[in-house]
Amino acid sequence: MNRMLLAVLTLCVGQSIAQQNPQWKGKFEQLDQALPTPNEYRTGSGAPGPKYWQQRADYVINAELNDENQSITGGETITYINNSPDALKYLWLQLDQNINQKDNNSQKIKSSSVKDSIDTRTIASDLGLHDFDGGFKIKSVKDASGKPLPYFINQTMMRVDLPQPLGSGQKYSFNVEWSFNVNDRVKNATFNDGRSGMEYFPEDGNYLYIIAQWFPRMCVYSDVYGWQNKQFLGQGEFTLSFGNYEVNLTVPGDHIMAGTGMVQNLKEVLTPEQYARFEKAKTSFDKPVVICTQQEAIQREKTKSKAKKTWKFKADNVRDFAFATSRKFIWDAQAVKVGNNTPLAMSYYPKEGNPLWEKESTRAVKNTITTYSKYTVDYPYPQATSVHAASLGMEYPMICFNHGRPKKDGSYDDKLKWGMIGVIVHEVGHNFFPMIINSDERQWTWMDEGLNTFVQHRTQVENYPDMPLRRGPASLIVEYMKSSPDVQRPLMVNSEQVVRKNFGNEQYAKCATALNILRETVMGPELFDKAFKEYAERWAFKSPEPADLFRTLEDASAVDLDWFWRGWFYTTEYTDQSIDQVKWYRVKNDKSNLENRDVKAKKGDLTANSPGQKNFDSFQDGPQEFTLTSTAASSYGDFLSRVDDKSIVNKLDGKNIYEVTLSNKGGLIMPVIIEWTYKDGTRELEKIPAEIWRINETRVTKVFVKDKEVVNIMIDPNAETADVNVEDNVFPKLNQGSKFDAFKNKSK
Amino acid sequence: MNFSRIAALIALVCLSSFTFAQEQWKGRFEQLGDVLPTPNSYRSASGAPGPNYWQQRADYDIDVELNDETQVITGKETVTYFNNSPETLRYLWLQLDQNNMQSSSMNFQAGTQRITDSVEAARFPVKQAVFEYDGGFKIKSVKDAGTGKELTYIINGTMMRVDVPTAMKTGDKYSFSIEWSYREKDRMNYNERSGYEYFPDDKNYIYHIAQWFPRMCVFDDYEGWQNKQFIDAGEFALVFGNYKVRITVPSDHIVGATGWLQNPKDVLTAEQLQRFEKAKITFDNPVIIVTEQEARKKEQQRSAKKSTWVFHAENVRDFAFASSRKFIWDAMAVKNGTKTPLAQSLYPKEGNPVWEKESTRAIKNALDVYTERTFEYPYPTAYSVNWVGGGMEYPMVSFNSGRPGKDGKMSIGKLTYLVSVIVHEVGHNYFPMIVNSDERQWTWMDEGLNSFLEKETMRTRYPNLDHSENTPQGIRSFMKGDKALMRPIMAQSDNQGRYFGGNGYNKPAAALTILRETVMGPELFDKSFKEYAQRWAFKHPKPADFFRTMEDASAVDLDWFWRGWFYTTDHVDVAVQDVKWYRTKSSRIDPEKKDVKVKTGDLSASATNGSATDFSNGPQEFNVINTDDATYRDFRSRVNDNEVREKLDGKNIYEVKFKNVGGLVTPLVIEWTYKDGSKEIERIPAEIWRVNENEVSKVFVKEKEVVNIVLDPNGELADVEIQNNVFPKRPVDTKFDQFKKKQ
Repeated sequence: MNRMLLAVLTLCVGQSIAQQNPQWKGKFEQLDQALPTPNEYRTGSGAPGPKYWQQRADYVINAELNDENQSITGGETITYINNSPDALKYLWLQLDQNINQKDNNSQKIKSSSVKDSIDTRTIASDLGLHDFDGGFKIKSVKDASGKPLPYFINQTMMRVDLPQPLGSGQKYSFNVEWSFNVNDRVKNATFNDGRSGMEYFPEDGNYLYIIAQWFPRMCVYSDVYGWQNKQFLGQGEFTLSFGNYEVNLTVPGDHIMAGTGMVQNLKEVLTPEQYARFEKAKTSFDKPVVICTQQEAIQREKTKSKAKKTWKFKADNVRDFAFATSRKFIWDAQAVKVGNNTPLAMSYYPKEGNPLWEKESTRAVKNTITTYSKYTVDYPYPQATSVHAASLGMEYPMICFNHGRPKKDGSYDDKLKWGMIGVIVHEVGHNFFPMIINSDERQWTWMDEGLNTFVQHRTQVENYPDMPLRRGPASLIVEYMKSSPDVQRPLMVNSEQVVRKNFGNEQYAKCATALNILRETVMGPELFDKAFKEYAERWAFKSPEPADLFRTLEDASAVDLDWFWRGWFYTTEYTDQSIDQVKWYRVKNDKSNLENRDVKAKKGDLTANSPGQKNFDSFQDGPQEFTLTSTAASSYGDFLSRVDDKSIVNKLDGKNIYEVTLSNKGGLIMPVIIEWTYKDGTRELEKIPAEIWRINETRVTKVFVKDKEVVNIMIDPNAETADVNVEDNVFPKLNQGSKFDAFKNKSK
Repeated sequence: MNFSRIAALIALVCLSSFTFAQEQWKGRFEQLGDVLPTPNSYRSASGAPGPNYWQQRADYDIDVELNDETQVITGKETVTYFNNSPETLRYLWLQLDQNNMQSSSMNFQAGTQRITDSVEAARFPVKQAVFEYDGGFKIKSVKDAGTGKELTYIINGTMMRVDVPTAMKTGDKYSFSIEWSYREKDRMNYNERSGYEYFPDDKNYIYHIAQWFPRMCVFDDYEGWQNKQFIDAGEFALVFGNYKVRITVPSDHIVGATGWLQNPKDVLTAEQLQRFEKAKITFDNPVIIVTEQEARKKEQQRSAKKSTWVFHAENVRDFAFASSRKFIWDAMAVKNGTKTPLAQSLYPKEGNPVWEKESTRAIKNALDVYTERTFEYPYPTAYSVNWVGGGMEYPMVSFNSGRPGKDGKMSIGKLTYLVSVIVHEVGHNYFPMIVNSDERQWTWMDEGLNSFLEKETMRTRYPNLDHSENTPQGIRSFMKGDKALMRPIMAQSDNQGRYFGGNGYNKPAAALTILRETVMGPELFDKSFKEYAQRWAFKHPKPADFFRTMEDASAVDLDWFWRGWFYTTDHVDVAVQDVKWYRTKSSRIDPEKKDVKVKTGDLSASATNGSATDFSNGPQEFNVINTDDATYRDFRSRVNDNEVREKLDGKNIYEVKFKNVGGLVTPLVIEWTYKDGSKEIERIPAEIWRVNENEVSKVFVKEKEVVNIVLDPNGELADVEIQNNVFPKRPVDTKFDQFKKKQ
């Protein structure tokens, strides 16, 4: 927290001074104390340290869904394992449902305003007009022997005081009983509690439940923050510990359930026929097998069983548990080869999702886990599920809720289809970030959303070549980078402080674009992929912090990226490079004169106004000649050997020498990519590392020696640096943008 | 308690309102806090290595051959890497520094140039366009030393990553072999840290070979792998280890290298061997082992045979060597504590007669002074090898420039340079070869500390040679530079640009001089500096370890000093803003007369106050009245009013106002010149600025009348503007400026 403040502060100070004389801002300085000092828990290389530790929480939960009044009642036994070196006097749990309590702070701190012709749904949500009795009702908190434990609740956090401090290496079991009313998702236009709830289908009178944050969950206790008990205000998501789950869920007997983990008593809850289909799906690698058909689902919608069934789930090494249940569900599944694992890709959807979902959902799940595994770690869980839910994309371990519903007649356009595939790839991808590479979402949104959006981009490019690109390509972030700086925040701010309208642009898109630029332009795919995979492998089933990513990507690649993190993650600067000036020179080849020592040419800057000075606005005036003199004995110092001056003149004879001056107007440091177009129509692309700016951060001049005559110079010709103003990227200067575009189009 | 607390509070309020009216408080005396890394079990808060401090080790076994026809170096090494870290390593990084010379290198790519008219052909700014030099390592193989199996590796610029077949756990060691070659460069064209020099007259070469083998990167607690690319300015970060190196060269070459020669019998004549043995026990004068006459003879007849020189070196961080048939060789034993290292020099006839006189002697002087300030020189030898263009350091061997003219004569300026270069480069054995800092990151940690001791060696051993660039006086013009473009010392080595030398060498050396002479005093400074050197000898210190140790060992809070000198570009400029001269009104007239109602007030309000440009108005009088009973509150005892008054009677009281114009807080050194011609120097610690960082006022009581006040009379504070240092105000020169003008 302190560090961030400092960073922002420094930024402001820097800007206010930087008015006329470009102040050196240390853009290539190492991040040093902007990052935490490495220690035995987290190393200087960005890996978990020799004494790295993390807590563990195992859960046994029994809960029942009441379909009549849409409420959930549950009891859990949590076994908390203190792997930390510290003794703990109390434990903190998260009561996320309390965000739906009437008097919760998240409602109070929501700003609102009155607009004319505002619709009922929006104003009801904005002003909290629904009479919804939300939030957890905690019935009891008891130790294993049934003795009540002292606790108190602060908004979305509950502290349980232990009878004795829990020493390092000890474990402690306790029980919590609770209940809560499930929110109706249609009423909440805001995102606060939109991550779970129920949807009512008026035509058949049934509910579809997607249930998450539904049980008191352990907070994370870590080497970085101690207890991460920052309140849940809606935007900063969740920080959770790994553990094993046994969850027994009782629902109406005709419901089909999806959840984190594997169902242990599938034979009891499915028909023999369905069970046989499920077994078949486990060996079907080419296409999904429908386990519960649409016909069966339509039948169940009508009959509405009054019986109950208990589905017994088990999940190992997960950080959370979510489920979906409805009598409306169609269910399909197929097997996927991932290294030595063969997880199931599965989808659950009501008939309203078809015919799109039966075609695309499970396929998208498969594509996602295959591609993500290549870039990170082999998908370690036994299954990955995509559940259809209206107007939502939300992730949990092994299960996610995704939008994309065709019109009533079953038709859908490309936009809807690509939107649905995009959200499935994204949410299934979240299994890797943050469900496995378990970053702190409450603190850093970009650590899961940004990284996930980046791999999502790779997945879409590699599996859906026709899909329109969205978040990833440099050119698509330009509009945002140009937008009002007042509401822009650096990526390195706490999740709650991101301005809502830029939440997606920054934490998702800007971060994904930054990584994409890192891969394509700064590091190259080979080094980047090796380094990114190293990060994933190091931090799989652990909890990384930003410095761990920053450090690992450098450590594994030998590319110093502190300048990159500094610019892209700690500031809101943008790329705007320009070609300020190009001077075309040729060497005056006066061989006869070279040895003539009495030619007293004064060494000087050719730009000074002298007779015969060329106009450097274009190449029209031809090259300016300059003189090379023979090297004076004095400039050799004590060397007795001599350079052959003539051969140097000969070597440069007839060469086109260009002195190019570039400036960095946007402030963001980026490599310089120059395209030379020669008179004969050929082109050459030259990549200059960002380090060219390391000494003068705003203006550099460099000399290029070319055999052929140049007719045009363009920087960032392939739009890979997110340069916000391309008008000044060409020489000779073009007067109008249209000409530039025309030229650009030609050059493609 | 209550009362004094209230008083303190009131004082605080008054003071701070006064402060804020002026300029913003910048916390110049605040502790560095989280500007420094948090101490942990690896590096302690006292600046010492922590209880869990660790460092890696790399042993090398190398065969190398120098081809005198093609100037190609071909080598094969077996590296044994010891993982002493508590971490598991899946890959190792090596440095391929020669790749810096590839035309695709970041060094060339990220370089900037301009075209100017009438450039000398050899100085054309784009070197790749005019010199046909195909630089860079050609890696032939990277193999597991045990199984001979090829290892996976990837080269990124000057760095090579080797993936180990099985992850190295704590305590594991792993051996692997690399075969490589590269063509050496002509240092006349590329003024690099190694290369060859060609002598057209006798058509022979001298080779100065360094960064010549793939070297392990440092893996440490602070950086992980230090694999930041080599782009020329930021030098090297290296680990300690033992070396066995067999160097094959033409048999008429003489080789000097890191380490101790193992087979002198194989490579020297019987006569030379005898001289070599004699040198080892000769402490007064160098013994010539290979004479100029022998060298001259060899220059004329090229041997077609080869010989192999075997060197072993223990606990060194690098290995370099020099080889030529042109070498004259002298050596002399040096007493260094309990040890007797051999000082050795290699030089061509072109270096004489200066080198045979000065080089080995300069080595001895460096070893003497550096050891006195740090620790015993632990290595068996220290070489100084002649070359052209600056100086360059390696463990036990350094390359140093300076040759007389053809007439054998050398100006005093050039001689000063030569001696100071040898002292400096030999001194580098201590920093960074033994106190093994990260040069890639911080140039000042070795160059700055070393330049300071170089200056100390020159000052004490060569008092007749003027060597002022690392002194407070010498740094003044640098400190005056354009603040918009300047960098703090703490900026990374490659980001310094044209401030590289100033920030890497001179400014830190001058700062340390101020620390020693003015802030801490020689005794405390030397004790602390030695503590730092001894704590971190054969270890890897970071800046905070230095900063913390210097305070820890001396009880001098220096956070303000590090903050100002190392983290900012502020300079010292203190002005004597105002001097007021007072005397007490002779109050004997009516000391007891209580009804004289003198209003307390500021004397400056009156028309005849002491605010003047000189002392000509004489002193302003002021009253000292009796202390009122009420101010004693509960105290029953009383101060003797008359005694106090008598003490001040006839005294000259000066209220001096100092203004901190430059921003850098500094102790004050004030010279009082009295009417009788006598002088007094008064020293006031920098903490005078701790509450008001911009302006302070202080009252001095003097017996004698003052005619002149000078701030920083000896130029020891690096005050850049001396015009405002004097009262009465008048134009002045410092002694340093006067001296410079004389030259």
